[in-house]
Amino acid sequence: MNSKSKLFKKTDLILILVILLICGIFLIPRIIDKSDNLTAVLYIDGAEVRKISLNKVTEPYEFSFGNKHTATVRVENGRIRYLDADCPDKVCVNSGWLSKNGDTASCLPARTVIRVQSEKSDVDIMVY
Amino acid sequence: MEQLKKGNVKKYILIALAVICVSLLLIADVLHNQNTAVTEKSDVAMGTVITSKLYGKGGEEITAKLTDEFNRLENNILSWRVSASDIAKINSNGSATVSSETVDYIKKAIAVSEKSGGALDITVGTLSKLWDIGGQSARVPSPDEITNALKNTDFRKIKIDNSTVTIGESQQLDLGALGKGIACDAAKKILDESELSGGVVSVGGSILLWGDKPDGGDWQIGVRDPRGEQTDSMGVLSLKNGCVSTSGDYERVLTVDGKNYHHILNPKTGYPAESSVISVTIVSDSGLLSDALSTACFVLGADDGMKLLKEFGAEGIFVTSDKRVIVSDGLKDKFTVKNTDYTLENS
Repeated sequence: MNSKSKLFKKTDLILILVILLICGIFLIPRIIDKSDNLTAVLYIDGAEVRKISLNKVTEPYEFSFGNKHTATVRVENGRIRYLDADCPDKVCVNSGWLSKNGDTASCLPARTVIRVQSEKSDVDIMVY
Repeated sequence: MEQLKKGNVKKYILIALAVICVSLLLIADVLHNQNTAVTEKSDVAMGTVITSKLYGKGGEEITAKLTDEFNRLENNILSWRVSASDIAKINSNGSATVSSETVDYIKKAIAVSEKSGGALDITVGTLSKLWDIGGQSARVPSPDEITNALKNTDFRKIKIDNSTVTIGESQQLDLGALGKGIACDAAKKILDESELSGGVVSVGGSILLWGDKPDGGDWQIGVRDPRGEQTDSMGVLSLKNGCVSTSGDYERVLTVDGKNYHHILNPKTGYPAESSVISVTIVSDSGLLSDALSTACFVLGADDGMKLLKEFGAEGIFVTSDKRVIVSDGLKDKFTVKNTDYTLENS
């Protein structure tokens, strides 16, 4: 310890700390990037048309979604759903709220899909 | 002199420290990019949701190819609803010359039918249309209607002469029990020719596991809890690759007077299969087999289902109505029950 204090001056130690700090600043986001960020991804004809960070929703809102058939989608904090649709079978509406990683609802006649994704997941895919 | 040495050592330590820091950053960056170079997409094809998670180069292009291929399978080969498809041609004319691909699928389905004693039967078309479970005109048919439809349900009446397929009078083919698996096999061919490093593809819940997972570990597959919601898993399978399909009584259900009728029909009775299993998950290298065997095993139940799996070198997980879980030998160290409502049993 004594020899070390002779080896490094106070300014050197500050320099080392600065290097470590800069390194840390760059490393931390890469390590904690897998935060539980629940995202709803909306697709029409296989093309991603919208992404919604469900955890960041403060006020509930609704919007119109689709092309061949139109659905009303409702978004609340942590969840999303097809609220109403003009398609014949209403399978999309009956799917209810989507709030967990992998939750998926689809309107086959309108060729739309809403899927909830999270980086933080124990499983890669569900078999059902 | 002493002072100079100390100065040098200090310089080297500082340089080494800086190099280590930069290397750490680069390694972290490479790992980070490797994990995030992912193309995740959902689409609609073959009357179901397709989801793919592809790692490595060219993911966008491959997802487009997958959709095209699934549409080709639906429109040219499999769908009895599309009049130009091979199956629709056979159904409407009683006989048709079709592609070698279609003949191959039919032959493989017949092999499962034979070995399962008819628990899987692709001539179930008349019967499945009668029930139309999951369709617009779903209903419980009368016993007479079922008896009549059963007369048309017998895979032994299918005759194959080179590329000509002939079915029995009034018979209708329905490849619904293997369509998703066939799509998984087709997806595998496309991924084999790609520059991707790994990926998973789900065709309406039947899945293909291909290549390497970015972290080098096994793919983790959630097996749906048959009594839970769509993303609740009762257990997790760890697998390197292959195809996995599940048949369960929760999927496509018709409820009449408080009674549930699921879509997996027993070709012998004409009614939804009741074999005390509520879900069967099959693992095989072949998507077609995993899909077809999951239906056959659901109809057969756990004991006969296990015997059938041995014939095809496939593995399976059977969940019974009293929530016992029976796992074949090859999956014992690969499957873990997560939901404590279920009890793992030694087969």
